[in-house]
Amino acid sequence: MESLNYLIDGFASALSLTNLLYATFGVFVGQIIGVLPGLGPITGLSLLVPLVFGMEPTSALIMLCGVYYGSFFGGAITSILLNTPGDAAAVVTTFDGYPMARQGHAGRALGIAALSSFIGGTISVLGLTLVMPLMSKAALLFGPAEYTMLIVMAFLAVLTLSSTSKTKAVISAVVGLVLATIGQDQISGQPRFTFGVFELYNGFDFALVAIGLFAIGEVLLRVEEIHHEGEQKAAKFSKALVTLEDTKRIAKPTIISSILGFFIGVLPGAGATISAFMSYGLVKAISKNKDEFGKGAPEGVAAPEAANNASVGGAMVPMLALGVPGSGSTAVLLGAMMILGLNPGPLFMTESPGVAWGVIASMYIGNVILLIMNIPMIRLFASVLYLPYSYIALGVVILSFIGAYSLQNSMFDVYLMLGSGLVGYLMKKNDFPLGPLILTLVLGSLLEGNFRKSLLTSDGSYGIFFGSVTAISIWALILVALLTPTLMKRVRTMMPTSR
Amino acid sequence: MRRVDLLWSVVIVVFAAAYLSAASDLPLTTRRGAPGAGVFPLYMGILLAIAGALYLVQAILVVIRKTPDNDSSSGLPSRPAMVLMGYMIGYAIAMQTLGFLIGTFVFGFLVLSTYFRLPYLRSLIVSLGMAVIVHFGFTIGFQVELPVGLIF
Repeated sequence: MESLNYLIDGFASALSLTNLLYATFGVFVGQIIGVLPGLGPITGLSLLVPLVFGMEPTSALIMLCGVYYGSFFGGAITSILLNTPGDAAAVVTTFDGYPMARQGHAGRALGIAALSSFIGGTISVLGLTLVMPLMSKAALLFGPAEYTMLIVMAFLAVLTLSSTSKTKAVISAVVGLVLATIGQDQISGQPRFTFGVFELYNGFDFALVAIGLFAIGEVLLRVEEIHHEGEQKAAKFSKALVTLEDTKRIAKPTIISSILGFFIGVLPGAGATISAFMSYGLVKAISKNKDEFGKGAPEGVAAPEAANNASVGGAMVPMLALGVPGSGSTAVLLGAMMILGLNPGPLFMTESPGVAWGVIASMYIGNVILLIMNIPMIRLFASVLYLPYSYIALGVVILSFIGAYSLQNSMFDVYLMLGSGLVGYLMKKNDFPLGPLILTLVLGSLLEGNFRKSLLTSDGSYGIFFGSVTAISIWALILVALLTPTLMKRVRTMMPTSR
Repeated sequence: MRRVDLLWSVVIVVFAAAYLSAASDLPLTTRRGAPGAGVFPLYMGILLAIAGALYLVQAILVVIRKTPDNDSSSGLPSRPAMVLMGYMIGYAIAMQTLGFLIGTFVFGFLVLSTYFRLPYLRSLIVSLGMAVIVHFGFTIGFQVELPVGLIF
């Protein structure tokens, strides 16, 4: 009952004109960013985070969440029209979306993607509303030791589910933790690894690193690709219409994938990509039209789109209730919450219910905005694909410079962002995943603080990490996280062999 | 795993060694016997060194077994990317000296006309339009302070 009251208050806040405008702006920008090849939710969020300084926290988070889920749909547009997913989560959409576009059904595929994204998004926010109160009550059982282990679990899950070399994923994560140690020690105040550089006393701002790694790194990689291979042309566009037969075919797969996507999204490290793959595998396994998968099956577009949008709500559960993001995107959102002066963690829901429920309510509204915007405006979003990459690169570079400079009005930050860009470019070129680095950079200081507090309370005994039911439960979850890749391998065997 | 990984693994091992060396100067305990500022960096340094060593072993095995590269891309920075990086460093310097508006216009014009080889007139119009829209959009719309430059 208390939650319902909070949700009603949340709707009142989200439906204010200012917040509606921020949600619309976020969804719009998110879709544009999602459309741009290579730029996904993390890049979009990283570019906008510096702008939220001084904004009212609820409005800022509503805008950023709009970017987050808006970019997922944008990613589907490039997958369907260009066979180039905007981000990893949209890879599965190419399996059937692009064949549909090549058969002249691009509009139908985009319509199916829009509808299933809306259903997935809405079901996941419903799940978020129901699960959040339970989760935030459970969060009160967490002390520093449990919190330390929870963060370690998030790291492990991200590492085990990484699709590239595990060694490289571990290196990426540890480099993030190493960067997090730069600056003044949070307990003793002693400077660490600053080498007398005053600007480093406050540590590495995650937003700077994120902008560099994701935006500048991507631009460098893309110009290199274009230099070698030339620019790809997008498929011809037709009107976005979903037939009655499509609706009948996608109804069941969409609902199943939405539910699956939400629960996978809750698990740290799993998120949109895994949920898209798993739902595709599941829907294919239970479908009567198995042979059509990989050749342009409407269910093959609906399932991953519903799942990756549903995972957004799921991923918000550990972030809002526990302050532990399960993915790179939610790590950036968590960083934004810190910038806004909020205190993400187990007490967030009780200390700032207005902000939390305002954001949740705005996600219901945002999904409706996304659907309304998509049907008539798909052509506008898709037109971004026909822009020469030179304009896009110029725009991304300028926005990255503004983002880096505006954090502290310092040119030092701009150079630091450029350095991160170079590192991001080299990491991508050498198959080092960037997600673990940004996740550990954001959570590094929290991990260290809780780790040291735990040892302080236990007089240096490591037994504290096994000393409670909650801690043992987290150990069990860690085991589940470690076993998930085996499960994933089984699902991947169900993927279309042509790919 | 490619042969270039050997180079990157050495870079990581050297970085881990340098980090560990710097971390060893930090105290491991406080005066009250609590974990000090050096504990966490020490663990992280050891973890990075182990992961780097594992990466090095994997890269050495690729070289010893003469496994063919399954990826033809070099893994090293390419010329087009490094040239663009040079333009961006120039942009940062221009932003600092000429201010955001003029610096952005100059960078935009140069990068479009000389790097992407677009016609001069189109480069001029796009870079001018983008610089003006972004400058006023951010300073007025978002109240963001942008560099005014040292010269002007």
